Order: sequence, then C-alpha cells, then structure tokens
Amino acid sequence: MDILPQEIWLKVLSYLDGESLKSVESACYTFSNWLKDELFWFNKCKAALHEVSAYPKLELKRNKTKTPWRDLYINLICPYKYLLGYWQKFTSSENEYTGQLLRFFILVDLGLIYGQISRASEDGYKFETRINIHSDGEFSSYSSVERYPFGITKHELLSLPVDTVCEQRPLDDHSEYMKHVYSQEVIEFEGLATDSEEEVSRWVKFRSFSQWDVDGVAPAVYKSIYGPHGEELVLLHGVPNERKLIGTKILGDRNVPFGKHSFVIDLDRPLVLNSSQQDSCETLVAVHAGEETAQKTSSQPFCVPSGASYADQNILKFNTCIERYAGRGTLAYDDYTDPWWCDTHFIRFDEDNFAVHFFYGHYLGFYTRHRDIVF
Amino acid sequence: MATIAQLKGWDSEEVFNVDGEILNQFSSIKELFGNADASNSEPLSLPNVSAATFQKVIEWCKHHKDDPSLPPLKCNKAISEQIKDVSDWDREFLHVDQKTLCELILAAGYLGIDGLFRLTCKTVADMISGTTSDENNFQH
Repeated sequence: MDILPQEIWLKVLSYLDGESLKSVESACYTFSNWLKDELFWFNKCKAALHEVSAYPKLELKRNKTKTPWRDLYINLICPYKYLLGYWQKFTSSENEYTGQLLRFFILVDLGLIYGQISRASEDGYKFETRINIHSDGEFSSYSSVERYPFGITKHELLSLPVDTVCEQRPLDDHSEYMKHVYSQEVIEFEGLATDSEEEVSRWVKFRSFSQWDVDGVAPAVYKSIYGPHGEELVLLHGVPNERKLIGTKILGDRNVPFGKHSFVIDLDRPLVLNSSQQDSCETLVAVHAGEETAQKTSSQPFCVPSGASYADQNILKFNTCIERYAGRGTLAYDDYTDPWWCDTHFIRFDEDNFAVHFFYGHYLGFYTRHRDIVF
Repeated sequence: MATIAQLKGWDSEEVFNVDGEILNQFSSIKELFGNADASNSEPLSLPNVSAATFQKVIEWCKHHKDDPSLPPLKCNKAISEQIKDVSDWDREFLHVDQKTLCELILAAGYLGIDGLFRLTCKTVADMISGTTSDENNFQH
C-alpha cells in the first residue's frame, strides 16, 4: 500500500472494470475510502460512455439525491454499456416491411437505461415499446399499446448471444453491403415488439460503416415524413470505390421495405439549374432528358416545381440549395412487387437537409438529419 | 548519438550516459539539459530513482525509442483502445517482482515517460483484476 502514493494507486485502479473495483473495495479499507471519490467514478462513467458512442457531455455536478456515480457505473454502465446505441430488427420474414429500430440510451439523472422502439404499424398507428433497466436492479418492459410485460428477463439480457453471424435475406444488386451490417453482434428478445408473445425477435447492432465514406461525407441517418406510412428513416452512405451516394431504408414501408435502396445518387452527374428550368415538372424533365450535366455543381436557386407534391412543408423554407445531382430512385407496387428505377434529382440544402425529387409521380421527399443517431 | 546528459541514481555513484533519443522520452527533465555539453558537467543525481531501476528504465526506453509519440489520453476514446496490447518484449521486461514494478511506476511517473507509466499502471491493474476479494494477492 505504502509503496505507491494515492494518486498513482487511483491511476492504477482506473484501469479496472466494475467487478474488479467491487472486489478491491471489499478487500481493503484504505482503497474503499479512496474510492469514495466522486471524480474517480465520474471519470469512469465518462470514459465508458465515450467508448460506446459520442455521448453528450456529462456534468459532474448533479442533484445529490440522484444515483451516485459509483452505482451508475457498477450497476448500469459497466454491465449494460454494450446495449447502448441502435439495434435493427433482423427479420427473415418476407411479410415484414417497415423494419424496426431499437434504441438504448442512458438517462443519467434518473439512473436508468432506457430501450425504446418506435414503429408505425400497418394502419399508421404509432407503437412504442419501452425497456427500463434501473441502477438499483429493477427491470421492466412494456408497450404503449398494452402494458403487459414481455417475456424478457434481466437474466436473459445478460446472457445474450454475442457475435452470432446472421445471413440477411437476399437483397437487390447491392446485397453485399447489407450483409456486412448483419455480421455484427446480435441480441434476442422473446415476445418483444412482435405480434405474438412467443415469437423470438432478433436484433442486430447498428454500427458505423467508416468504409462507406465518400469524399469525406460520413454516413448519417436522415428521417422523412412519408404521408400514410409514417416516419421513414434512411441511411445515407457511400459505396467503396464508386462515386455514388445511396439512401438505404432503415424504416421502410409496404412498397420499398427496409434494407432496400430508396435512391442511388450519381456523383458524376452534377447539375446546375436556374429558376426557370425548375418552373414546372415538364421543364425539369426536359432539362433532365437533355442530359445537361454541369462540370460541377454549386450553390444555385431552388424552388418546388409546379405539379410536384410534397408531404413536409419545411421544404418551402429553402430557396437555394448547395448542390444538385442526378440519380435514380426505387419504386414498387405493394409488397415490393416488380420494383423499377425512376429518375431522381438529389438536392442538398445544407449539412442537415436534403430532398429527393422522384420523377415518377413527381414526389419530393424531404429528409432531415437524425441528430440522435451518431456513429 | 552523442551523450548529452549524465545521470545517476540516488543510491549509487554509477553514472549513466544518456543520449538525446533516450533523454527526449524523459519529458519532465529533458528541458534541464537543452543543448549543453554534458562532458564537462557534474552528473545529475535523480532523487527518486535507484540505479537498478534507472538501468531498467533505460533498457525500456532504448527498446521503445522508435515508438510514435503517444497521443494524450482522451476521454472520448476507450482506454483499452488507446493502450495497445502488451507486446511480448514488454511482458518479459515486466516479469519482475512487485517491488521493482512499483519502483518502475514511480520512476516513469517522475521522469515523465508516458508510455512506460501507462504500461506499468495497466500491468498492476491486470494483477488486481480477475481476483476476488479473498484472493486479491497484490501485496500492498
């Protein structure tokens, strides 16, 4: 004990995990006294949370009545930090269209890890499932529709299979990229967010795909209101060695289900249009058909062409865009029947907002960056 | 490389000739020497480091002199990620009794050798971890 000073001991102890620190506390009176230091535990929490994702800044000062940092670290962050972040539902069923995203996040002030699934059901009703893990060991889960507990227990959550490799069902021509996503960690829940209580649902960790960067544009998740189907989430990402940006559906709909490509943007087809060229959908189509591609795209005027429809009024806020590219978008009948490509324009307004103009039916989808989902 | 500093431990008159490559790793004392010519100045005695420990420290620094300099420990990165796996050489190097290990930590902290300091702290932590309270066998 005396051979090293206290500050070096604390340094050494900061390398230990929760279980070992618990042992150290009970093994030695002096250590357990030193480990009453809030700053030590605060730093442990901070380091652990930064390990899993870019968490918002933690404040050391908190309401004294709330969970101590030590309990938060030992009971919650250390054993469950692998849960934090996003999980996507893995499905082998051809009948599942929307896809589901499960998000686990920590509410530090409440000493709680919170799992949330939001999905729009087929009839447009918003359905929410919650899983609560408290730092005092309490565990609960319920859904917003019926508040019955699911068949999941804390014990099961801790003994989840990890590193199981899943094969995603065959996708369209870019299937290899999706397969990569599904070779990550997997968790399973019994009866969670499925229509049958007995059914086991399998969730796959939704991760960073740094190799998908194109020209320094990191992959990001964007959301869009899509009329009758409710919220749509799209992952905008690049493709290795190709000058393309792809919008892959994370939450899909009956026509284009999740995992499919909503649109593919060709970065080698930049466009610069003046206002009169986007006057109406007809003139836009004429410009597009004329293959009037520019050398490079730049800041230019933008307006919603007459004859085009849109679901999100926010698109009207923009009268300039920073870039415009040509591309193609997926269209399909119900159940992804006979999918085909139609021409599209990709219009980026700023870092957080872009629109995709689908020429078939002239629908303008407006997408806003989902700031909660960061890699 | 030429000797630019002469150092000795507190417990012996043995003088260690330290060249620039090694001295540069002693971030807390390297400034003391600057460009001075060491050949005609008095050897500097290190009050907190014994000759035997200093010998080990120099051995470690020689082996690691070509390592890229360590980035400062950042909170937004996992500590485990920032400490690379302990190499075989390091493991062999640290195969010493606990007293020596502790003296190495103190020397590394005192001399400001960041890489050695992190490595030795991690080693002690590894000795503690994985043991239960009953068998916590690190002699403190």
